Amino acid sequence: MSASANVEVNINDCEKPDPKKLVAFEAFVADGGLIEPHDWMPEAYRTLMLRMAEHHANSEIVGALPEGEWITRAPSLKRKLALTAKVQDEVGHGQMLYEVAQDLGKSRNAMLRDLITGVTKYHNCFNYPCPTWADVCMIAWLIDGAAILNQGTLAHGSFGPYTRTMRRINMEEAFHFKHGEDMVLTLMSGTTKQKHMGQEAFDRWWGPSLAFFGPNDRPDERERPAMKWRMKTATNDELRQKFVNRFAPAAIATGLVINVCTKDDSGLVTSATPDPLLKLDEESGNWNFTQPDWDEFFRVIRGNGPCNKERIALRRFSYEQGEWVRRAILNGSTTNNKKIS
Amino acid sequence: MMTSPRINPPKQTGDLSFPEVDSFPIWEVFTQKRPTKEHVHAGSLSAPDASLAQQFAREHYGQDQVCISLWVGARSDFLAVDGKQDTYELFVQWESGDRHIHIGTVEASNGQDAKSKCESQFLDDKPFFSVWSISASDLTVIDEKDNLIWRTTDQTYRLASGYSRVVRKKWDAIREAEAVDAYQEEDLKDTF
Amino acid sequence: MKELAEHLQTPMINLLLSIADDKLFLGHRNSDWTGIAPILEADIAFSSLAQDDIAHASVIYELINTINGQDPDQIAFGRTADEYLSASIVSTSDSFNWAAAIARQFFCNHFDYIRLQRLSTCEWEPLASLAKRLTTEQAIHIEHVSSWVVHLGTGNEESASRMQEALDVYAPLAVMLFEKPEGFDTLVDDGVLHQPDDFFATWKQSLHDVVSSAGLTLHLDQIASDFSGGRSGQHDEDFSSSLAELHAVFNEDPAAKW
Repeated sequence: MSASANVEVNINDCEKPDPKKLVAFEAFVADGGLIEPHDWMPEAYRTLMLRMAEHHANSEIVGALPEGEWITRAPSLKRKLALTAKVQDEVGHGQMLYEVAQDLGKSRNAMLRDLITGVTKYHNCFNYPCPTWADVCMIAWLIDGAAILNQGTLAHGSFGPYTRTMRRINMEEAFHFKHGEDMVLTLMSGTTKQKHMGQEAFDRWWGPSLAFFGPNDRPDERERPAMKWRMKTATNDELRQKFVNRFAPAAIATGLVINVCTKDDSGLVTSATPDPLLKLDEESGNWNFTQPDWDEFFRVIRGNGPCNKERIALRRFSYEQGEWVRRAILNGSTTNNKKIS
Repeated sequence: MMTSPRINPPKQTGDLSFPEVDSFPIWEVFTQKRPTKEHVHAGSLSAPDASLAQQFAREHYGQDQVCISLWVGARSDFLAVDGKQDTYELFVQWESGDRHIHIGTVEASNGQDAKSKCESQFLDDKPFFSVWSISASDLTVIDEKDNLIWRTTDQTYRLASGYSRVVRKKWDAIREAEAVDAYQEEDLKDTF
Repeated sequence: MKELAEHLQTPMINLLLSIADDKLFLGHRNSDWTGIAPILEADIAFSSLAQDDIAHASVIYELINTINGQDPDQIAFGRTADEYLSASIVSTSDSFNWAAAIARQFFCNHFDYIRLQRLSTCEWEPLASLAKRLTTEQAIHIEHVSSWVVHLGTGNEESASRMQEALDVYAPLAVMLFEKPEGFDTLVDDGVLHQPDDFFATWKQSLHDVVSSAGLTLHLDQIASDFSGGRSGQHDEDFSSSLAELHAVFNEDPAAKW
C-alpha cells in the first residue's frame, strides 16, 4: 500500500561498475528502457532496487495489521467483505513484492526474519494506532490516497518486475481508495456522533499522510540514484503539494476541519487548532499548509512511536506460530531438493 | 472471553529461536480472461508442491479480475533446456518490461528444442527478449468449466467499479462538478 | 414453486437463518486470520474462503428479505444472541492454531457442501437455484481444506499429531451441525425439502475418505434426537465473544449507515 522510494544506499559501498557499461545502462534507463532480473546492472542499482522492494513489501504486511484489527468489527456485511478484501490485497502486494526482491537475490525467509528482528524497516505511518472504525475510513482515504499519488509514478519506473507488479497493485489500490472515499463520505453525512468520530480520526491521520511522502527534498534530490535511475520519478515535496491540493478542498467539502495537532506518546491527539497557513494561493494554484511535525516523525521512525513494538510483535507472533506449518508442508525436512532457478 | 493476539501480541525480542526451513520453489502463473485472448503471465508464487501452487494460484491470481483459465508450472520447468519428447506450450516476452504471453504449441524433444522451434516457427523473425517453454505434463491447467475460478457471487464489493458511481454521486452532492472532476483527475485511469 | 405458503414462511426463514448464520460466523472467525496466517499465499487463499462464506451469508439474508422485507444488515447484525441459529462449531475459537482452523473448516465445509447440494433439489425455486450456484463455490472450499488436512496429516510427526488433536477436539462439536432448526420437519412433511436419511452417513464418508488419505483417524457420534443447542438459540462463551465483535461498531448506533 505504500512506496519506499526513500530507502537509501551508499553507492560508495558498492562494487564499482565498468564505466562503459554504466554509461550505456544509464542512457538506456534515462531513455525509458526497462531492466529485467538477468540483465547487467550496477551493484548499487541491484542493492537499491532490492531494498526498495523489500521495504515496500514489509510496509504492505505491516500495513495489513492496523486495519486487520477491525475486520471482525466491521459494521455491515459490505464493509466486512470490503475490509477483508483490502487487507487480503495488502498481503498479496507483500507477496508479489517479496518475489521481486527475492529475484534480486534475498530469500523471503531472510527478509521476514530481518523485518521481525528490526534489521529492516517499513513505512512509518503504520506505527500509529487505529483506535476507532473511523480510523479505518481515514486510512483508506488519506493513506491509500497518498500511496496512489506515489505509486502512479512508480508504475513508470525502470525495473521490469517492479513496474509490472505496480500495475497490479495500483488496480487494487484504486478499489481501496474508492472504498475509503465511500466510507468517509458516508461517515461525514451521517449522525453527529459519526461526524465527530470522523473529525477525530482525521486529526490523527492528516499529519501522517503529509509525512507519508518522506522528509523535505534535499537540494540534490534529482541527482540522487533513486531519481537518476528512474526508481522514483517525482520528489517528496512535489507529491506532498499534490496531495494537499487534492485533499484539502475535498476534506473541507465534507465538513472536516484541517487542524494542526499535537499528540501524546500513545498517538492520541492532545490539541487541535485549525491550520493557520491553510489557504489556496490563487496565483500558483497551490494550497499553503503547515508541514507535519518532523521531530515527531523522526522520533517515531527511530522506534519510539506508539505502535512500533506492537506491529513487530504481531508479525513475529504470526511468523513463529506458523513455523511448524511451513516445516510440515516441506515434508518435515530442512533440506530441500528443489532449487530456485 | 477470547484474547486475541491482535490486541496484545506477546513481545518476544532477540534472535529467533529456530532456523527457518528452505525456501519453497517458485511457480509461474498464467491467466486467461476471455476465450479469444491468450494466456498472459500474471506473476510468481512460492509453494512446496503443485497442488498447493494450484490452490494459491487460483486465489491470488484468479481473483483480481474475471479469469476463465489458469496455468501453473514450476519456474525451473519453464526455463529448462532438458526434458523429454512431449507437447510444449510456448511463451514470448517481446521486450523488457512486457509480460510473457502464450504464443503457440509445438511437439519437441526437450526444452531447448521447444525454445528453438518457438523462435523459428512462431516469432516471424521479430526481435524478442525472452522465450519460455513448458511440457504439457509439467503444466497444471485449471479450466473454469470443471473447476470454478472467478466466483458467481457478486464480487463488486472488492472492485473499484463497485464504488465509482456511488462515490461520484456523493461528491456531487457536496461539491461543484468542476471541483470533483479536478479532484478525480488523480484517480488511476487504467482501472476504471 | 415460486411462492411460499404462509405457514411455511417462518420454517423457511429459520432454515435460511441456520445456513446463513453458520456461514456468517465461520467467515467471521476465518477472516480474522487475514494478514497473520503462516504463509503469505495461504493467507490470501484462506481469506478468499472467508469472504465467500460472508458473501454466501449475505445472499441468503437477501433471500430472507424477499420473504419478510427485513434489511439484510439488520438481519445479520440486529438480533439478540438467542435469535442466531448457528451451530457452536462455527464460532469456536481456534486460538490462532492453524490446525484448529483447518479442522473447523474441514467439518463445516463438507457439511455445507452436502447441505447446499441437497437444497438444490428443493421445491422452492429461489432457494434451489441459489443453492445450486453456491454449491459450485463450496466445491472449491472442500478441495482446499481437504488438501490441507492431507498435507498436515502426511507432513511430519508434529503436524500429524497437531492435526489429529484438532480433529479430535472439534469432532464432538461438528456433529451439532446436524441439529435441525425449528420448522424443518414441516418443510420436509410439506414436500418443500427432499431430505433422504443419509445426510450424516454421506458427510461422515466424505470426511473419512480425506482423513484416511491423511493417515489420521476420526470418530463421529450422532447427536441425541432431543439435542438442543445453537439452532435453538443456545450459545456458548465463544459465540458471545464473536457476537460482541460483530456488534462492536454496529451497536453504537444500529440505525446509522456505515
